[in-house]
Amino acid sequence: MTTTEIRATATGVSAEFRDVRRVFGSMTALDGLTLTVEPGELLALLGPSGCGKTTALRLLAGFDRPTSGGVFVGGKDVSGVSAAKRDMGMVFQSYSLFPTMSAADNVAFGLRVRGVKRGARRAKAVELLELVGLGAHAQKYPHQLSGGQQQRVALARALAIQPRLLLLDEPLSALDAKVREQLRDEIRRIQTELGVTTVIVTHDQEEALAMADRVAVMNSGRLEQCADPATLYQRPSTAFVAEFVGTMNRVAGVAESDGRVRVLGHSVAADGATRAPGEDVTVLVRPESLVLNPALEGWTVTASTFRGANTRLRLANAGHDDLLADVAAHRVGDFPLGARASVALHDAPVLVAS
Amino acid sequence: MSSSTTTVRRLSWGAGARWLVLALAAVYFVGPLIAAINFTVKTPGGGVSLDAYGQIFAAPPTGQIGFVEALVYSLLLSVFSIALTLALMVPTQILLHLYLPKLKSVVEIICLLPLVFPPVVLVVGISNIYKAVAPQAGDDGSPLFLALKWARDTDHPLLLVATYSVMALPFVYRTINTGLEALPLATLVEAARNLGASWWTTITSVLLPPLRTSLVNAGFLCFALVMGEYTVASILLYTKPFPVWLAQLPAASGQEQAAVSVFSLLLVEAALLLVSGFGVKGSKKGMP
Repeated sequence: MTTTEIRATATGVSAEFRDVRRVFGSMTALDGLTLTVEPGELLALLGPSGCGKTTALRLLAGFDRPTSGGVFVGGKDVSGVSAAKRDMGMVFQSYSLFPTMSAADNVAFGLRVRGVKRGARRAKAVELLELVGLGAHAQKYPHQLSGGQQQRVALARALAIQPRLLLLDEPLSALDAKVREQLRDEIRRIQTELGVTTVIVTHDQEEALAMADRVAVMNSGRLEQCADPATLYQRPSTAFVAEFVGTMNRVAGVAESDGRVRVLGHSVAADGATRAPGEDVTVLVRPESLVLNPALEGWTVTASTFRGANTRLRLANAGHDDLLADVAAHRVGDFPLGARASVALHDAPVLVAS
Repeated sequence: MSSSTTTVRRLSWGAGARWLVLALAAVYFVGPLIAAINFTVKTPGGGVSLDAYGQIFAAPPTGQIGFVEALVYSLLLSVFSIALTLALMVPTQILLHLYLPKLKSVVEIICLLPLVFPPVVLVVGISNIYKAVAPQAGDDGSPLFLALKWARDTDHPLLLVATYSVMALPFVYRTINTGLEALPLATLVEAARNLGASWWTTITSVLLPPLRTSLVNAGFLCFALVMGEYTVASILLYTKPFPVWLAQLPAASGQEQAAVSVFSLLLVEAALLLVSGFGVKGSKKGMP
């Protein structure tokens, strides 16, 4: 079976949470989650530990039932359908390959359960293993494969059943950085080729931003914002999203008229809560939005972290919270430790913390 | 003295100690066996004869069963006991590990009870239950009486199998529990269910294969228990189990009794080695 043939059968369907609540004793894991996953897209559920993202994925997979509300797939309520009958492929954080089966048998397992004949399932297993770059490892057992290879087999196994939805539960978090990056690109490539609707759960914002068409940021069982990565990074709708996705400085400012704020001596446009002119506000500014210039007085460079294309400097000034600012590699020489600098802002809207 | 010399000396002492322990254990286990074999082949005149072993397969006295029949009876008894114990314990423990972890300690205590109560106490309890129920029910043809009567019938080993399964619980519980603890049970079950597997397929195709070593070990322990158990079978008036049959041999033929013991021991050892080889071979497949 070719990739085109696999794609033809792996039709993308929509998935939807409608006002879903899930309560465990006194703990509310999901508090009225409403979210739609569009057909064929890759949506990342992003948030800190305990935000409810894994609970949402388990509800989608059928491993759990909502306390109230409904889970819909392809427009049909599947809240009461068992996991075995949902036709969803899932990749788990902890590999979860069946230890006494070879890679090919693992991939073919879902087909065997569906009564597909030996020859056909064998051929499809090999095809899918080749798709994930493991055609030569079909007869190896899980303990003979590296972590990254095991996750590739798990991905092939999940795809073998031509799932209506592909669910990825922190699939890369147990892998080392290099393999993580490779597999991240590979998952994205395969998902795009097959067009299967995919939901990935992750607490790694870089992973979510790099892989997903849209990212749903969750906090305390609620959806904070769901948007494409660029919007999420550049125009976060809440202070939580702004601070969870990327790094933010909290800077004191004063509200002005016409939705502007005065911060670091500059007047800039502001998103977020509207404030009365003259009111003290806290403004969120990204390190790359700060512009540094050498000066005789003002902020002092107290620390420097090399980050490849740029260097992140920590700046201190009496009476202010420390600032983090990114400077391009060719300008780092202007700001050695102990150097003084003036700080300005790029002309872009900033977010006022509520 | 250099540190490498010290290490080498420590290693050689360690290796020596290991061989010493092994030798002592070998003497402890093999010594009586050699003595027994020696006893069975010695003739009064100081010669050597295998007559005692020839007697094993001689026709049994009227009304008694022979060596082979008794041994096969016990082997079947152990097979049924193992099957019943595993059929009870495997699903129970999977259920406990997956959904009722808080009840594990309670079930463990219940399963360990047969270790606390000697077999004779257990069998007296069983006898008393039958004495208390059966006479009162009377031969009135009621389903209860008929069921009890049938269960108590020594023509088939139902009661014995049930009792042995209870007696094997402490060993089987521990062995299966250890195997399950080593597996990422919840993830494997969820992965299988997610791929559309029924519970039956999940247990038989996904969970049991990696548990093979644990199951074989549990089977060994149950097998050893049944093959050597005399008290319960004797008190419940079963005459066919091998240990009871052995005790019924005429006391005069001590040499023959010893020959039967030695021969059956070697047979059972061979069977265990065979099953052990199967278990190890199976466990090696796909396991680190």
